[in-house]
Formats: sequence, C-alpha cells, structure tokens
Amino acid sequence: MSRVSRIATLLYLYTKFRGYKTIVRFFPHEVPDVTVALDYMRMPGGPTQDAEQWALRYIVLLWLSLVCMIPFDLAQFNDEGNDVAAQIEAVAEDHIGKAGLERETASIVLSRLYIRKDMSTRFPKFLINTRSGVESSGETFKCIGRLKVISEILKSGSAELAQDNLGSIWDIVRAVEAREALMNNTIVRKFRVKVLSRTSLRILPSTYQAGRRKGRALLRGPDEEQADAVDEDIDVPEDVETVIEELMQALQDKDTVVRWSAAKSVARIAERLPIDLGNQIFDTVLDLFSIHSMAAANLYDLPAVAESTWHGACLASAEIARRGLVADDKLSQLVTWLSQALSFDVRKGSHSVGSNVRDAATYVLWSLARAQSVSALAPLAEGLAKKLVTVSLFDREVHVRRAASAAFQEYVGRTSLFPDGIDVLRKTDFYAVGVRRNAFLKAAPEVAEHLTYRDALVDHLLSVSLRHWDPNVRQLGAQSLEAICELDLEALGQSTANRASKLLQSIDIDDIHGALLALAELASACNILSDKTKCDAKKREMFAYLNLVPLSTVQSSRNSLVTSAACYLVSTAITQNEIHGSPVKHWRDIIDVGLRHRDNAVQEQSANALASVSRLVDCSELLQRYMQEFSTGTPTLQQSLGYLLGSLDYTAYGHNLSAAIQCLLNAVNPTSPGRFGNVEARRNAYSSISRLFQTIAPKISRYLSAATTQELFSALQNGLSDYTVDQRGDVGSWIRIACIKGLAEVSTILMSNGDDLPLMDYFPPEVYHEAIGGILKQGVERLDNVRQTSGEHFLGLLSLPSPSVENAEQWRIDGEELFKRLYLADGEGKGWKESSWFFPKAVKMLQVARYRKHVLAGLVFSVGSKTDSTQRPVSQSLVKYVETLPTVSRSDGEYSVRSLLEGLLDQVKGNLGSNTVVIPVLQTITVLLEADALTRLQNEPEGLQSLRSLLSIASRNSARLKNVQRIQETMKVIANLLVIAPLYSEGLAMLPQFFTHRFPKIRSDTAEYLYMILQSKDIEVETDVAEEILLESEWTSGNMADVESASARFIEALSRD
Amino acid sequence: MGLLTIIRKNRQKEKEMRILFLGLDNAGKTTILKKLNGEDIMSVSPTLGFNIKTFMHGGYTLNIWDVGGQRTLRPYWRNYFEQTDAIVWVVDSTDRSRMRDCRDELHALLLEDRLSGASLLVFANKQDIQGSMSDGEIRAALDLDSIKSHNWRIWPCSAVTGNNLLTGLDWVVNDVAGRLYYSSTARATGHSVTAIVK
Repeated sequence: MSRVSRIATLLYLYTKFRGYKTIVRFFPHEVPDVTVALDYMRMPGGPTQDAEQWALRYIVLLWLSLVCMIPFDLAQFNDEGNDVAAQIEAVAEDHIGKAGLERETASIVLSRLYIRKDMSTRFPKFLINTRSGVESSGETFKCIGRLKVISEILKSGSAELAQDNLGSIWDIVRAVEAREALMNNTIVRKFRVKVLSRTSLRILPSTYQAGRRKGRALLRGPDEEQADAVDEDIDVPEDVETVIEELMQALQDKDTVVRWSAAKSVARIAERLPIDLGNQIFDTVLDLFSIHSMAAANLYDLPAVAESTWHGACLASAEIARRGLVADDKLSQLVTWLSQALSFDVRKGSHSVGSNVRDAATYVLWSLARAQSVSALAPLAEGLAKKLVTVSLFDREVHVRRAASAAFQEYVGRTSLFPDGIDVLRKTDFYAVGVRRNAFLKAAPEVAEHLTYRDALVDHLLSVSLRHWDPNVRQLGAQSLEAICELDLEALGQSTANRASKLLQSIDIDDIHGALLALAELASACNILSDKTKCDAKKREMFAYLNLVPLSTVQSSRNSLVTSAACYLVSTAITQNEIHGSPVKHWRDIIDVGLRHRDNAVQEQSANALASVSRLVDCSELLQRYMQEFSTGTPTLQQSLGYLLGSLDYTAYGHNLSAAIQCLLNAVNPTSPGRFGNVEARRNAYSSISRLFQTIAPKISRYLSAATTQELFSALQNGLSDYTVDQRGDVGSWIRIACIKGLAEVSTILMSNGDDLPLMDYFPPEVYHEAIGGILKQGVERLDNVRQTSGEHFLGLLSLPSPSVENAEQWRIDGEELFKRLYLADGEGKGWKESSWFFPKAVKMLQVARYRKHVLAGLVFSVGSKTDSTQRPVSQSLVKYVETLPTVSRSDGEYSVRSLLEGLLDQVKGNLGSNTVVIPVLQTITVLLEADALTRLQNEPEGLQSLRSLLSIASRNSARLKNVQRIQETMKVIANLLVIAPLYSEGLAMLPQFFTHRFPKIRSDTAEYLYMILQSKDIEVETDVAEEILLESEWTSGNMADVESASARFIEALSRD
Repeated sequence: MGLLTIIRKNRQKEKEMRILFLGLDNAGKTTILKKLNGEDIMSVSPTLGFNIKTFMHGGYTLNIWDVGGQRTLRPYWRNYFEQTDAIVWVVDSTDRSRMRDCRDELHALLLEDRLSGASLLVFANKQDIQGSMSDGEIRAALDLDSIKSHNWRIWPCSAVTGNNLLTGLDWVVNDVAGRLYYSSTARATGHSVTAIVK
C-alpha cells in the first residue's frame, strides 16, 4: 500500500467519523489545486485507476468538489483546447455509476460544478441524460448517483437553477417511479423523497419564516397570530399539494431511511406554509395513526405492518413539533396517540416489532418539551410524567429506556412541570436505566417511593410486563413488583395479588406464567412481616390462588415455564397449614409433576419447592419413595433425583440423611450397579454432595461421621477422572467442573469449621493435597472453561486462611509463594482460559514437587490434544521451560530434564496397553525431541540411560501395535532418537518395520517424516543418497518386494560402517 | 437512528455556526479574520479565491468563509450561500467614492433566498484612519434602515487596533444562537430576537 493510499484511507476514516463537510474544510483550495486534483484523477494508469483504491478516488473527488468552488471562471484554465469544466464533468460522470463509495463524492463534484453560475448551462443537459438513462437502461447505481446530484443542487443551489429546471426534474422523478426495479431500491426511494420535497421548498416563497414561526410559538398573543396569517396569504402551487400527498405515502414506507426523509420533508414544507395549511398537514399526519387502529380492538391486535405507519407518523409529528408548529389545541390528541405509541409492541411470530415506534414516540415528546409553551403542556404534564417514567424503567430495549429518560429530562429541565422531577430523574438517569435488571429491580422501587408514580408503575407491571412476550421481562416484572410492594405491603400486597390472579384465568399461557411468578414473589415479600401469623395468613392467600391453575395446565407438555412457576409459588408460599390440610388439593401433584419434568430448570424449581416442604415436615417416607423409583428410572428422573438430594433441608428434620448419602454415593460410584448412566444425572449428584455440606455446615460432626465425610470427598476426587465422551463431545467435562467446584467448596467448609471437628480425621492433609493436585491437573488441561473454573477455585483455596487447629501448616498449599507470584502478582490476571497468557506460567508449576505428577499429567494431556489454541502454547511453553532446567539433578529434589523424562516414562510404565495414556506421552516426548530439548541428556551417563530406556519402552511390542496413531508416534520417537549418537544404530535397525509396515499410510508417513528429520537434523552421516531413496521410492506400492528393497537400500545408505 | 442519536447530533451541532464574510475588495475582511484569530496582519494581500477559518468564540465553533471582494469575484459569491447563519459585511469607511457600489452589492445580496433569515453584521472598518466616515454616516449611505428582512446591526471598528471586533462578533453569535435549529437555548433567547424584530 503506497503512502498516498494510506493517507486517503485515513482521510476517509475521518470523513466517516465526522462527516465530509467538516473534513473538507481542511483541504487546500488554491487556484493551482484545480489542475493538480483533476490531472491526478485523469492520469492514465495512475493510482486512482486501481480498482482497490476506492478510498483514494473518494478523497480526491472530494477535494475536487472543494476546489470547484474557486471564484474564477473555469474557462481561464483552458489551454490547448482543453476544456477544464468538461474534464471535471467527465471525471465525475465516470464514477457516478460506481457501486463503491466514490459515487457519493462524484455526485458532490457534479452538484458543486452545476451550482456555479458559469456552469449552470450544463445542468439541463445533465437532466436530459439522466432522464434518458433512467428510461433506457435504468441502472440502479447511476440513478442513485444522479438523484443525489439533483437533490444536492436543490438544497444548495440558487432558486433560479432549481426553478428553471423544475419540469425536467419532475419528469425524471416520474420516469423513476415508472421503473419497478428502481422503486424497489431503498436508496432510490429515499432520494426520490428528497428531490420531491426540495423541489417544493424551492417553489414556496421563503421570507423571514423561521424567526417568525418561533415568535408565534413563543408569544401566543391572538393579535400576532392574526397579523401573521395576513401576510402569509400565499397561493400554494398544486404541485406542492401533490408532493405532500406522496410524502404521506412515503411516511409509511417499509424502510426507515425513507420514512425519515419523508418526515423531515413534511415538517420543512409545513414550516413554509401558512398556519392553517400547516395545521392541515399535521392533521393528516395524525390521521395516519388511525389507519390500522380502526379494525383493531386494542393496541395488541394491530397488524405488524402498522409499525411502519406509526413510526412514520411519530417521526413526522416529532419534526413538526420540533419546529414549534403544533397548535396547542391539537396537543391532547397528539399526546393520546403517543401514549399508545409508547407501548407499541406487536408480536410477529416468536419476536415482536415496535421498538422504533416507541423510540420515535419519545422523540415527539422530547421535541414538544423544547418547542411547546409551558402553559400548553401543563394540563398533560402529570400523565406524560408517569408514562415516560414507566417506559424509561420497564421497556425491554435499552435504547428506548434511555430515550424515555432523555425526554423526561427535557421536561424536567425546560418546564419544571413534572412532579418530583429532579428526584425522579436522578433515579432514572442514562446510567440507571442502562441495565434492564438495574432499571427493574433498583430504579423502579426507588421511583415508587414517590406516591405520584407508584400506581402507574404497578399498573404497567401488571398489565404489560407480566404479560410480556419475553419470559425474562415477565420474570423481572414479577421481581420488580415484589420490590415495589415491599414499600407498603399492607396497602399494596392484597390488591396487587388480587389483580395478578385475574391473569391466571387468561387463555394465554404467558399471562399465567407472569401471574404465577408475581404471586410467588409477593409471597416471598411476606417474609419481611415481623408478625409470623400475619405473614402465614398472607402466604395462605397467595397459595390459594393455585386453585385457579388446574393440574392439566401444569402438566401440559409445552408449559414448562408454568410448571416451573407453579413450583416456585409452592416454594415461596407454603406454610405449616398447607401440609395438614390445604384448600389447594393438587399442590403435591404439582411438585411431583415438576420432579418428573424433562426440563432441568423445572426440576430445580420443584426440588426447591420440596426443600421448602422439608423445612416444615419430615419427608423421609416421600424421599424413600422417590429414591427407590427415580434411581433406577429414566435418565430424566435420575437427573431430577440428583438435584433433589442436595436440595432438601436435613437440619430441620433428618429425612433419612444416611440413605440419601448412600444413594448419592451409589449414583457416582463407577463400580456400583446403581451408578447413574446419564452424565447430567451424575453431574447433579456431584453438585448435590457439595450442597449437602453447605446445608449442614457448620454442625458437620452432628450429621456426618469422619468416614462418611472422607467417602463423599473421595467420590468428588474420583469424579475428576470422568472423561465420558458422547456425540455432544467431552460431556465428562461438566462432571469434572462440578467436582472441581465441589472439592474446593467442601475443602473450604471443612477447613473453616476446623475448630469444630477432629480435622485430622475428617479431612487429613494428604487428602487435601491430593485434591489440590487434581484441581491443578484439570487446570492445565485442554478445555478453556475447565481451566478457568480450576483457576478460580484454586486461587480461592490459595488465599484461604489456615484452619485453626494444631499443625495447621500441614494444610498449607506447597509452593504457595510461587503460585502467588505467578497468578496474583500482576494485578489483573487474565484468567486461566487465556492459553497464551496462562501456559508459560503453568509449566513453572512443575517446580512444586508435591503436585508435579498431576501437573505433568495434565500438561501431557494438553500437548496431545487436537485443540490448536491449547496445543500450541502448551508445547512452546514446555519446550522453553525445559531449556531452563539443568540436565540432571545435582542435589536431591532438584528438578531436571532427566527427572522430567523419567516422570513421563513413569506414566507409561505399567500402562503400555493403554493408548490413551501412551500416545499423549509419546507426543510430548516428540515435541521435546523435535525442539532438541532432550538432546543434551546424552552428555550425562544417567541421562543417556534414560534415553535408552525411552527407546526400549517406545519400541516394545511395536510390531504388534494396531492403533495407527500409536504406531506413528512410536515411529516419530525412534526417528528423532537417531540424533543421539550412541543410540543411532539401534534406532536405525528398528526403522524397517515401519518402512515395510502392512499399513501403506505408515510406510509413506515414515518416509515423509524421516525426510524431514534428515533435512533438519544433523546425524553426522552423509544423507544425500538416503534422501534420494526416500523421495524416489513408491512407498505405498502394493508390491512389497519393491518396498522391502527400498527399505534395505535406505538402511544401507545410512549405515555408519 | 433513534432519539439518542438525534440528541447526540444535536449536541454536536448546537454549538456550530457558519458565517460568511463579504464586502468590497480592500475592505479588510481577511485582516479582521486574522486579527480575530490572533495572526499577523502585516502580510495580508488581496484574497484570490477564498479562505475557510474555524475557531471557537463564546463556546461556539465558528466556520467562517471569507471570499475575495474584487469585482470579478463577486458573481461567484453565490457559490457560498448555502446553510449560512450570518453575514458579516465589511465596509472600508475611508472609501467614500465606492459607498454607492457597496450599498448596491449589499442590497442585491439580501435578496437571495438562501440567505433569508441570516443575521447581518456590518463592520464599519478602518475607523483608526483619520477622515473615515462614522458608523452613522455609513448607516445612511448604505441605507441600512430600509432592511427589514434581516436582523442587522452596525459596529464601527478597526482591524488594526482590534477595536470593537469582538463586540461585533459577540452580537452576531448571540443573535444566531437564539435562532439555531439545533439550539438548546432557543427558548431563552428567542424572546430577545423577536423583540428586536418588532
């Protein structure tokens, strides 16, 4: 990329950021620049001709458009028959049909050119060409470019230039309209609207209008109005009326940009017209609101197409209002429509449309605040205040909430009409409403402290939020309702619950869901009552509403949200009374349905409901029944049981805790016949183990013996080796994550309650260190999320204070200093999921002898993984780390290359039959060998000994191997060991078995790999002949005799003697 | 594009105005600009073409277009009329002989529809030179009182001493500020604008 094109790109980015009009002012515009810019564009084979240099063309054309403005006759520049004006025109014409952005600046050049008085004679010709172009070929881009020229000229050119050519311009517009292909293009329609409206503006007289209009809006004396009306007695040309009609159509266009242009145009024209005509235009705009409303009974029944109409009508009203053209007597009608537009939300399939209508409605209100007189707004103020506050708090979309907040601010600042305006604004400012959660749960209750607004908020929540199409909004709405009702539960609780319960009879399942959530939240709000009987009485009322939801609704297969919400209501509203005799006959069935539900969220919610029950009554029998049925049931039931067992409150009543624990242990024990086959079920069971500890803490010894504690803990430890894979991938990772969390949480609980326990018996240090090792192993493995979880929990344990028992240092993590330096020193750690940040640090953990075995195993696993983002950084980091180690250990315990290799070999010994163990180790060794990280071992006797045992372990039984990957890795290790001189002959002798292997792929891979080795490594033998043989021979050939002879020749060529 | 975009654009534009500096040649347009901008005024030569200056004044960003005033350039003034918020008409107060010419050019300018509504500031420049016409005399010579279509004001000033330049600029900026489409303060100052018109 040349310097000039880099500059052009930079300038282009400036124009994109600030608009070309701002940037072009800084361009030079001396007389000589005309020829410089023009010649540069015209240079044959110059940079501007290169197709990729669109930014350069864009910028040079922009420059040309500025220098076109010099106040000299362009004819002065002509020499030797060159017509500079014609050349500029031709250059711009060349680019006006381009699909790229240079089209835009080409249009600007032409418009600037024709605006010049000495060039205006060329404009009619341009219009003729345009029209014939549209009529003949109708090329879209050319049409766009040319319409832009016309609309620019109509905006900035002189009135005569526009008026003289009006006829031709109308013709062009009609020609465009006649071509359907052009009219299907959004940009074409946009420019059509611009051209139409600007021609009208050019026909209409423009005297000192703007200022006078302002005067009218500000000084609403009746005398002045009349005086104005008198001098504005003008004839409105018929063409303008036609244009207004077409603009009204364009306001309903399907594309936003077209509606926008139309809205601005309508307002500008209205501004130029006498007052009564302006009012008529505004009436027509208001009529747009009713087009679709006639047929619809309420706002929710509007067809989705109403969106464009309403949006267009709002935008036009806003633009008209902004210019102060809304008559005071129209205000209440407009505001009535706007109140509806503010809640415009029409469902369309599974989503809804209308956020832009709501946004545009806030624009109208904002404009009214700026332009309308305070006294005219005063009667409407309170209604507007309530409406705007509800929208700013409860709209689903952030931009609408913020827009409503901005409009509210405008009223507070300019009119001071809104009750408690400044206080409320502080609670609903730009930032407060930015996050939906914050708006619903924090800002809304704060605003509700002002009594003026409270009812409006509650109304909106009950009638809109709880019935919203988005379940998240329903949920937040219910929570917000709870928070508001807490302000005055006596007054609000009863009536709100009553109104919410009306929704339970709706046929819309969303309404039922919202109502159940609201009742559940209200029931939990009762907990703030200090009077227990009163609280229970209120809860009973909420509970009784469950009768309105028949069991069939709860059971229905697609109503999982309702099922979950019903369980939620049970969990928050149940009291002692219901246990012994409830008006709601089916509450137990609801829980039962929930527990058997397929959906995990429903299972959780119903488990919570049963947990609430378990605080009130002993559930041993029920639990026993569920354990019997579910533990051998379908995967779904097992999942549910796994969750349930951890949820119950075993402290209030025993609920046969030991049976529950046995059930959990059976569920996860790999050797037990009762083990859950389903991965999610096992994961739930593991999570339940740690939740169980949370429930019974701090009185652990009262519920659990030391042996049981250890048993549960070791179950979690064993879970770390669950590498189950199914069609969804490494699903075992869910279990491992649950176990990492469990180990860390249970360790924390046990250690922080250490003074209560014989900690040595319940939680021996070696068990803890084993868990730490396990977590670290997971921490250096392949999956980002597993590493991240490990990292977070490990760092949590690292900063845990020592338990308050004797010899507490036994529970300190070894190498604490190193870990803190690695992960906590540099302030903002990126987290263990960032592999390129993490692995260079992670390999240093090998320093700590106690966890070395685990960390090494994890690293090996990562090196052997196919995940590039893990494999590459871990391999590089490992090689770098090994380079810093001494060759052999000088002192006891010192880590060295040799001990690393021995550590790797230890993993293999005794596991030679297991490919999953051996292959990653061989891969790791190959990585180290390829990087020459192990070569220096041969200089030390015991190092050489290790290499020798590597060769023998790698090659053991190699002839009998069947796994292709294992054979390849074996071959690679042997090939790499050729570099070690003392092992050369031995290694070489092993190669023929790969060259002549019965799998052709092995044969060719061996040849390829050896060629790479011979090319890149120094093996102190002349290799030319051998390389020749590798390249020339047909290794995959079926003729084994040929292959064998090639192999023999190769060995011969490399023999040392 | 929603309300927030509109407000953002408003914020950006409410503090910006475009001012056009016109007048006969040798009136001192470029010198006034340079003086206002704190540049050296000794090296000014007749403007061949046009200058664009951007600077801050009273919290507003002024985009000033200064076009040469030679007779041959005057027909091209109309190229620069678009989106103009104010015209600053600079008069050489010593040039009694061309006052009629000056008046004709000014009144022709004010007929242009693209300039309708723009504020007009007349600078009676070169007051530091002895024998120059007073602002009262110029007001009469240019027949300013007949101008009803524009909000106008005349200030005697001197580009060399800098006298009254800022006062004049303050007036024109305030006058425009009350009327800007994007203005947030329109309501406050709107009254004074109308009061002047009435």
